[in-house]
Amino acid sequence: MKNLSGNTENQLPDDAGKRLTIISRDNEFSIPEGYFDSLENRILEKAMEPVAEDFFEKQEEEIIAQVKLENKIGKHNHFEIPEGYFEKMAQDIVSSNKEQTKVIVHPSSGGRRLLNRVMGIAAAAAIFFVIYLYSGTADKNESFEALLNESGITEEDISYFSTEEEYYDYYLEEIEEMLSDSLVTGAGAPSGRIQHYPKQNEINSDRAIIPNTPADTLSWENLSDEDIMEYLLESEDETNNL
Amino acid sequence: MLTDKELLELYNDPSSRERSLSLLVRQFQKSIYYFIRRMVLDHQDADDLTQNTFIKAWRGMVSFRGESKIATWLHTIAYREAVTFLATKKRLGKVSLEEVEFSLPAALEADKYYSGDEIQRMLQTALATLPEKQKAVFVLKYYEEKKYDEIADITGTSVGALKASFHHAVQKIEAHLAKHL
Repeated sequence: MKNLSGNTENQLPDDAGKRLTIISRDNEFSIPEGYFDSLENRILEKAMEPVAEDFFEKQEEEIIAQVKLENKIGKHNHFEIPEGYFEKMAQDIVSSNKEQTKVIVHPSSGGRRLLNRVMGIAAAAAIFFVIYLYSGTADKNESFEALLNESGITEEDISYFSTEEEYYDYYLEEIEEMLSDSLVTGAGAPSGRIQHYPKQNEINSDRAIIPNTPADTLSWENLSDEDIMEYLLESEDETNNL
Repeated sequence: MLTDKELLELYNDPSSRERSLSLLVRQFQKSIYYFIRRMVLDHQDADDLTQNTFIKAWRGMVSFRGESKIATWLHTIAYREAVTFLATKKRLGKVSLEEVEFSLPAALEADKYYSGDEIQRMLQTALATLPEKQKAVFVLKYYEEKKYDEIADITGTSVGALKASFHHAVQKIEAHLAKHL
């Protein structure tokens, strides 16, 4: 069977569940007759709606200006944490967990969401604590954002998980990957993706977003697709123009 | 089928810029539309978001540096469009998961552009209860069979997080199917 991606193999991913395997992956979505024949023209029509005469020329300048501004003010939060914050929180979590082991809670829907959120935050704190210990490079006053960056875990990653159990599973995988990378490279610090995150001394500096590129020498050539994509997709002005 | 380089050359020449949009749409319309459609389910919503995706991509292509494939660039825009759309819809509609589980199967059954059987409707209902980004990861991996590296580029998430996310999505879907099958 040929699927949408054009791949003739119909093997399920290794970790797909048993019940999923009995469900056909044939495309069950249909479309109005001639839809794709007319889509091109409708997009062209919409795309040709007038934009400013210098739209394309100005875009480069605007993207550079935005990246420069972000470099200057920093995209990261500037909140510091008290010394020993994570150590204390991890201990609190452990002791709190022991006390509550046999308590069964049946919260309401809203209560469950709140509980999940609290549990999630607690689990995340435990993750960061262990990663903090593992990295061995963190300063005492290292910001939460820096720890986040060092770990390779983004806020977006965290938003995927709604329960403590999910955080915990994810944490184990992430740590395993970090350890595995270290063993392979023989280096003390994790390699791969984590290396690309700005270090503590780069955060809040002009080099935080584009390492090795001082803000005053920032040019079109230094920008990455990621910077450009971020500008394009988050620009409300552009969205309003559509 | 044109290569990324050929498409970019057409785009960069003002005399063929408009043609490059036609070719871009022709080449990628089905993959982008069906990815979005699997995300938002409704044809009309998918149509709007598909149009927005191509227009944004085309207007932004002046700054495309070729560090990723055009297909990935388009999927990234489509992903953000769909996730933002679903998140906004959820926020504005304030529909509970229980309501989704109750109403979606009937809505799909009544949809003249949906031909899935009962078990496929059940799967779509399970997918609708996932967080938007987790649903996108599932769709990209399960239906589109994309590699984790490419999904990481599209979603801006680490491969480790994607694997965990996909694993949890499958578990939730399995639990949903077990409950209703």
